[in-house]
Amino acid sequence: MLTKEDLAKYPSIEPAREYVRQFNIDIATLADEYPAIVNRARQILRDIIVKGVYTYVSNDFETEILAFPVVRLFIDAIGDDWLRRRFAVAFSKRVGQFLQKEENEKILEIARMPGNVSEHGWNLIYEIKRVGVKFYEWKLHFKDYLSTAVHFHDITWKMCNHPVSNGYVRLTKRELARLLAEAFKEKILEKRVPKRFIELPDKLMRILEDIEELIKKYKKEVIREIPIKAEITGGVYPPCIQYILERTERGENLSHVERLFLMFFMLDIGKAEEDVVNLFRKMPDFNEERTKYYVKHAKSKGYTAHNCDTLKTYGICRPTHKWCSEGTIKNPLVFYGRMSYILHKERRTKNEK
Amino acid sequence: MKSRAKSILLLKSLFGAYYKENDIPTPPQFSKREFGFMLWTKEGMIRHKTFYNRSEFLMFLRKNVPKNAYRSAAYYLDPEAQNMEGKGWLGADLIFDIDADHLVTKCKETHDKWVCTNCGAKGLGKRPDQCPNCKSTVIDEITWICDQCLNSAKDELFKLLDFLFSDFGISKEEVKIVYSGHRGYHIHVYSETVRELSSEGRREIVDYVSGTGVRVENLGLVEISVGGRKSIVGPDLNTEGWGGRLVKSIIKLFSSHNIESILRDAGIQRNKIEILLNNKEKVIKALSTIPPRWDILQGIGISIWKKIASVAIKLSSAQVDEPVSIDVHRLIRLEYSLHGSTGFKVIPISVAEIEKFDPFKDAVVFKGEKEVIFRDYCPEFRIGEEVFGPYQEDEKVELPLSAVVFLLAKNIAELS
Repeated sequence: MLTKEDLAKYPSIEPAREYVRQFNIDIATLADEYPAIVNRARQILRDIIVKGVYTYVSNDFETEILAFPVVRLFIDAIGDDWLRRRFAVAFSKRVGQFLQKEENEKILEIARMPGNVSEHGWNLIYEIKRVGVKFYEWKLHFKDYLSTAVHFHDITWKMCNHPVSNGYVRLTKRELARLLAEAFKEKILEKRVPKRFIELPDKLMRILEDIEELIKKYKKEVIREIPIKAEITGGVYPPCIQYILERTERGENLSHVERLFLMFFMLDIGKAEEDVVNLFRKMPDFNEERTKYYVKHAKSKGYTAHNCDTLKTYGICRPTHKWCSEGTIKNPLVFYGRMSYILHKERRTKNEK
Repeated sequence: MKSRAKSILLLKSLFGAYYKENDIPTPPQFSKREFGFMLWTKEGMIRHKTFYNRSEFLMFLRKNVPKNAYRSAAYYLDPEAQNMEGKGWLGADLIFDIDADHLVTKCKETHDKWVCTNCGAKGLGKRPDQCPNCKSTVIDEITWICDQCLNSAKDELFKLLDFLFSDFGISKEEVKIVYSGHRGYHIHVYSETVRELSSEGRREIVDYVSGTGVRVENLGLVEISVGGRKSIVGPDLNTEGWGGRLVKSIIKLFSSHNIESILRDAGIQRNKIEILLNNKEKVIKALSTIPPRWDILQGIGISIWKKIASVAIKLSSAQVDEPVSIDVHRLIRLEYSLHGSTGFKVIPISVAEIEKFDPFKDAVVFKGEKEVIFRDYCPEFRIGEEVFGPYQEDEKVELPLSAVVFLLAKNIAELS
């Protein structure tokens, strides 16, 4: 049985939505009738923008539950994709932390309930099994596993690296929490109200303007401009890097392996450490210090960008160029080198003419 | 009339008779499927066709007598829409394609041919990237089929079925095996659990059955330290998924007669191979027990086991054609239609019947006799119980109609 505290911890689930519905809140009078909720929503948004964290206040469950849809209302009304993703990533991280410590009964109830992580709910079973030195506590139907695990590009998430039998994939508690958190993220990203349909009363409009101002300030100070942006459309990058750069530009979240690959590749082709750090500024969970540390470490170790075969395994390879589809290159750096040469030659010929 | 035109006329009339005499069954939920056809006299494919009732479907086949017929694996709201966005994708069956063309078989060296379109140079085996004579890259390939090719495809099919039944929990009733009419088999999975899978999800299934990305550490094969003493632990015969498959495959590998060359190809040093060969029975026994004893042999550490494991994974994986499975809009061959390159029937086979299924007998349609003249050298081939050939260029022979259709469709002979 889910408690009010559970709804506060997981305010996107169906019972939390049902709980909110009972209040029959009208947007027109929201700011006057529930100032504490509006204030809490504003604080949550500030923390998301500045710290990339969806904070939790454990002594007022009702406010936590009611503030969630208000946060979403502001996000839809602002209509900024970067903010939407930063919110989804921050919320998913918080959910993951709670789930790791959650009772199994609660996990089952949340995951199986239709509408929480998928339309029909997950086909999840609690069953302990030791395989070698690893203890698995859960098994999830492969259909539900694949619906979410394909978003991770780490090799440990490949289904072949898990015990699979009779349609079920075994998972440790930690893995299940991570997978559920990702499903929470996808679920809240999938539903949105278009900006043009939202009309906010004056009091909320003023808050919205404050938040927009804060986003603008944060973007100016932290995200800045991406110096490599101009080259994205230049055709010099292999399709795999090109695709990652386009997503980076849109502020989409990248997997761990994609981040490493982009970092190694850019360092390999001689980009300055600072330029490489700048590439990650639009990430929904960007942390300047951590990124700087990773880039510096990668540079000092001299890591080389992954080979095409490895990228294929991670699902990062996008063989849209014939050099890739015909298999004439084995590493994306070779593509870059060859294309740079061709483009350089073309430019020289043009100049000579 | 030119002889090729005469041959096409005969093929079309024979195909026409087949479609007239047989009530071709419609695929499941056919009104939600897109159909595609290739005709004898027109280039390209007619796509985005749909049929609202069975008689309309039969009438189309009888009137147009297609050279090749296809239908979508997907279900659509409006299959007739001219672009994918407009069709309204509702889901797709999961399809696997096992094609002998993609399998390494020794027979290819004896029956596949290539001809350089620039200088006319010819050769046996796989088409080279470049003509050895004129360096042109425009080279035609003439592929052939034989028992060895199709048996290799069947071996892959059995491995795939085991993955589907044991690991994915798919029931036999949800699987339909279809002989493609040429070089392989299509496996259709009709199950609610796969219908809405994304392209990425399907790719992950392909990676699973083909063993792409398997990391033995994740299967539990690791070196651990107990009380300062190093020891190797790993999966056992009953471990679920790839762990158990790995153990079975290693045991099979140690029972095979060519283990020495396999170990050598895996890059294992000579002295280590010697240890392994001298202790084959010991390894089989140690891995067959539960728990298994991975550290049974002194001098065979985790790095050697990893090398052996990577070969064992390759041997037990099923080789399927990835693009077919991951394309959720793919058109696949229509069951019971005729294949334009062989004249063989695209025939569904139940799981129980697959062992005995003989494409050169069970997919043969035509009866009667005709005389043909060979345009080129023709390797040996079998139709039913009878073996034909080899035949030399310009040789005239009277053959059963099923063999004649096969040769005309393959464009290696003409009607005399």
